[in-house]
Amino acid sequence: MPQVQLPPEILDYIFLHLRDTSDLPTLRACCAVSSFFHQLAEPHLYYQLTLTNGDDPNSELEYGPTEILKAFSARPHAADHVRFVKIDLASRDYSNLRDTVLVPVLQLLQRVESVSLENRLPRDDIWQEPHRWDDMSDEFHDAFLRLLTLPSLRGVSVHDITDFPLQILDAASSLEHLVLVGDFSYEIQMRAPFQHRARLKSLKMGHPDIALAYEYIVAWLLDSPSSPVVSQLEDFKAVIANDTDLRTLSFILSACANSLKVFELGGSPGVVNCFYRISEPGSSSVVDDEQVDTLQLLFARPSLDIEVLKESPHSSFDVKNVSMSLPSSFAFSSLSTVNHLILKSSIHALMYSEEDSEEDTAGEALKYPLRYWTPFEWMRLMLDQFNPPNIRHPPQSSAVVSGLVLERLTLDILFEVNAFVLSQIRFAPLASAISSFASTVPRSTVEMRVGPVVDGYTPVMDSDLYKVENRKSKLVEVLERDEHLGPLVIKGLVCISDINHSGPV
Amino acid sequence: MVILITSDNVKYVVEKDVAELSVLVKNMLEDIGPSDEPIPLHNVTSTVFNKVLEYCIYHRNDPPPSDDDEGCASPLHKYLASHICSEWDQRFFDVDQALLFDIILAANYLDIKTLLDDACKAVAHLIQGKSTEEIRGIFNIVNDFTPEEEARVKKENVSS
Repeated sequence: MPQVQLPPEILDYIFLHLRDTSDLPTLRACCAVSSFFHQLAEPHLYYQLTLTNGDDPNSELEYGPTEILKAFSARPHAADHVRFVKIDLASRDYSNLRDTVLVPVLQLLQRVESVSLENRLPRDDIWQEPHRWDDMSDEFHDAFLRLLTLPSLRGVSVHDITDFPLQILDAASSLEHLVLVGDFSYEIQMRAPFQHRARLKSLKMGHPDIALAYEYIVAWLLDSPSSPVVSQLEDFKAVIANDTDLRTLSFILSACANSLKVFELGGSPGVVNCFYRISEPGSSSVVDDEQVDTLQLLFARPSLDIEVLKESPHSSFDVKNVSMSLPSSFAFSSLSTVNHLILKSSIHALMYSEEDSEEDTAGEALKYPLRYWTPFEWMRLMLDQFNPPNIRHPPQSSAVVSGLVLERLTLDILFEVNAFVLSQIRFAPLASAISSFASTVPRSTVEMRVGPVVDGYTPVMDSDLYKVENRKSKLVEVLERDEHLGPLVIKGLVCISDINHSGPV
Repeated sequence: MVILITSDNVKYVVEKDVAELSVLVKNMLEDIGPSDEPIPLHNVTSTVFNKVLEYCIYHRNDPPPSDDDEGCASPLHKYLASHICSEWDQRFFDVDQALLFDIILAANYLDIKTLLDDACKAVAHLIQGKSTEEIRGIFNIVNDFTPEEEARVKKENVSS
């Protein structure tokens, strides 16, 4: 037995790692070691609390709200350790969400720094529609609103709560970090504006291709006198899922053009990916390049015109038109303070085996070409906006590009393809763009993540590449062997990870 | 080159970029300015410093830890950051427990954040899944709970 005793700050750090890896059983064991360990480990044990009203038999949660309420009732100070609360609304029953079971626990939380409200659908029922905010009980609404007004609250995250009313977030006056994913509504209230408006430092937006999803968020942020201020935003992440998203996002980008430091843009495959057909071994051809039009929208003078509901004195709602336009065309070169640019997208493929081929009217098997989609062209075009060719190699200051102060570039590419498709993809355009940018931005890295194969089809000629024990090494081998990509891997510009394994490859 | 002397009077001549992974040493070098004067490391023995040096040499070219990594790291990054994933690191920390604790204390004293971070992860991995009694043994902790208190603590600590 070692005689060395570790100081409290080190033990605290070790418990922090247990918390980060969600190792709650070990943290519980640590709590029972001694009164000193209990004092140090208990705050980590309760740091993050997940509450669910769900009836998902596959849930991994060990304790339900009833057990947690019992624990907090016995030790009221334990509730004060909760800094992050995640509320999973997972009930399948639309007529009775059973969200009131969560309310007594929520009412005990006084020092929450971050709250996440999510609609976690049961794993065996992926077709269920998300719950609506209006489906929830008044008691739950009140308990959630109380959390928003806590002085300690810094972060709010809302996922897939249909018609979540954005204006209620105005009450979170100390809000700094906001995540909005899904379908939202914005209604103009009659009440006097809040005295203190929150100042956002980070904002993340996403939606599963819902029309007008971003328009309501932009209208709320830029039109409401009480909504959080975005002019000091430092970190902005968004996913573009349809061809109007970029134009809508330009309002927020314009508002924070002098403060933004980290800008992450995710491109949904349907919008940003080029469609290639593998016509014959070793060659491929572009079939569709619609994403170029999407990019051009950034240069148009954007305007936004949307109808929102406005509360009237007679307890009903009128319709108000919210219109806004930017004074001039927006371009990425306006983002003068961005020092870390992140572009995210995925490569995926649709493949048919001979068995999956359909037959034509004459009974002949139709030979579908192998197809794959990549975001390389989109990434190259986006990089060109940050790094125009005429100033790609400035003579003096290599870190200053187009008036920008980019220090770091990350291209995050998820592969959802098999080894055969990987071997057919041409990486030359991507490699060229990376090499060009790396000469001006020292910390340029490309993260390539090998993900699960989602096409579901197995070409006959390549069936051995699908074996689980082979897949990882085969996929990585293909990437590392590529004549254009391989040298960049050796130089350290490209980092490959396999998300099905714990470590980088 | 920088001359470092451990608490058991063993002298090391170390390249400056390696030595400066220690914030303590870096600050001392800045304080004394250009000099051949040896820098004493009062709280580190040569046995432990050999390991520290091995780590610093291997990781000398790693990018420095960035303050903004926490805010913008992807879930994958966070996952990877919370695990010791390099085979070299796993082998490096596969030492007896007393030495592992000494490495932690040395990293804390020398102010080498990445080594401290990785070593604490190694200890977290070491106690993973262990019983309360086993954890007491690992940390050399005497149980000061009464049996009733311990039972109550175990019963009360639910969370999700």
